[in-house]
Amino acid sequence: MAESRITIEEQVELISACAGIRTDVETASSQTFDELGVDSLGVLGIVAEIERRTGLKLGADAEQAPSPAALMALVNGDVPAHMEGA
Amino acid sequence: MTMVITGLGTVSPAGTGTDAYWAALVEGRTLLTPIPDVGARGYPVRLGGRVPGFDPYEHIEGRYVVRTDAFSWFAMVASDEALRDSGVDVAADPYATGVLICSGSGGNEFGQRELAALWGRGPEFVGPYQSIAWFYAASTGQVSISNGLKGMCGVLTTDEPGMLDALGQSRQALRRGTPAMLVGGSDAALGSPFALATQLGSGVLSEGGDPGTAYAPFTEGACGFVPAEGAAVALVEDAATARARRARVRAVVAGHASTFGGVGAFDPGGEGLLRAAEEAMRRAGVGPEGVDVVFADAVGLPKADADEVAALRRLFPDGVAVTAPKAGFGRAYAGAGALDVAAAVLSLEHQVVPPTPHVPDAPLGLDLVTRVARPARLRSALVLSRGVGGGNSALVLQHPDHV
Repeated sequence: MAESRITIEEQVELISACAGIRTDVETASSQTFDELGVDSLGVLGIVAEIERRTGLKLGADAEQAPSPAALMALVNGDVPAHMEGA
Repeated sequence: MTMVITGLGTVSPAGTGTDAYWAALVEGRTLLTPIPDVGARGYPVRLGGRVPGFDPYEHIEGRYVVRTDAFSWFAMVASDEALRDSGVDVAADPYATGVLICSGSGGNEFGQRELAALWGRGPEFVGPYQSIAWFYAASTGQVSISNGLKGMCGVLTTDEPGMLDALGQSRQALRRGTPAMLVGGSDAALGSPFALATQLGSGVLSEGGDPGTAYAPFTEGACGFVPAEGAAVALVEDAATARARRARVRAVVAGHASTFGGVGAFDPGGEGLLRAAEEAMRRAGVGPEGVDVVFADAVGLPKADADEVAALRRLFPDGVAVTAPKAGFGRAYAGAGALDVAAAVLSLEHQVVPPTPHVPDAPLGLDLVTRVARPARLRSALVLSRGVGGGNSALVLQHPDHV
């Protein structure tokens, strides 16, 4: 399961690559996507990229994640989610 | 109501900004360059008028860059300049400014990239912004969103005449309660093979490889036109509104008209173009003696050029100064008419008619301004534009001191 985890550093990179917003670990850890300026399509892109990297199918819950921290918790299995290995 | 232009912005093959654009126009500079990345794939088109060295991140916030195609970047940058130039305080009343930016064929480059991902790798590789980036209304939408503009918004897709028609439409928007409109046209047809492929079937693109002769309208060697990319945007408002906020009036939009000349590459016979010009002049209240310069459509195809010359002779039996500065940089689809409108505004402002590059001598008995710019007393300018498929539009612009 180690390779299916993502880090906050990766999220910072994905927020820049997928949503065009530069941020840092501290900000990304504490703010919501909305506060960061990431719109719903941006979150969709981030989720899709995480799915590609991890091989997980995250589903609609991930797309509704309010913040990078919440999304990370979902991906890393800290919160129950509809995950299936790909 | 008198509609006036109080802000102007351009992104053109001369670079970003109206100063760079005007400097190139006055010089009659050649801005056509090889497009090797497209030519290498066996396309017959070899030259283009590309916006040089454009890095969107220098001009636009990253979050808008990733969700937009180049045609929207150009629109956003030109809109920013027009807004700054106008001095309109957008934040004071977001509902007081609307957007109407014309588009030619949407976000081709962005679309090609995502469609290649779809067919080459699978649906999960398509980015979500494809849903909005390719769309004709994307430029208007992102200009509205990024500036917080909540007035009347729309998009017109009428090929090259787009901005002329959008100016005509804006009169209604101003009447209906949006006191300022950002109006323009923007296109980026050179960024990808798909973008260019959509244009090839029309058979109007020049296959010439020599920038000096590839697009030479009104000459015997005319062999089509060179495609270009770029945008021009104007901020328009009622003269009374502009006066009340002590804005600088750059030009008066005095009359617009458009006609449909029938299906075909371009209005066959030029009757529709003639009619549009007559009607625009009538609405502007100017006769042939009141027009001091014509910014010709100058397609660069012998038949279309001859039709335009015939129309000009009928309109101006005593002659008129004619110019086609876009011979220097190409035709930017929805940006083409827009860049001509911008050229006319700058021409009136500087009281100088820029030359028609690559046309060494005035042909066909036309008073075509060639070789060097011509200083002149300019009260009114007539801009003519035709679109593939038979649309014709004409616009009369006037110097604010001569209305």
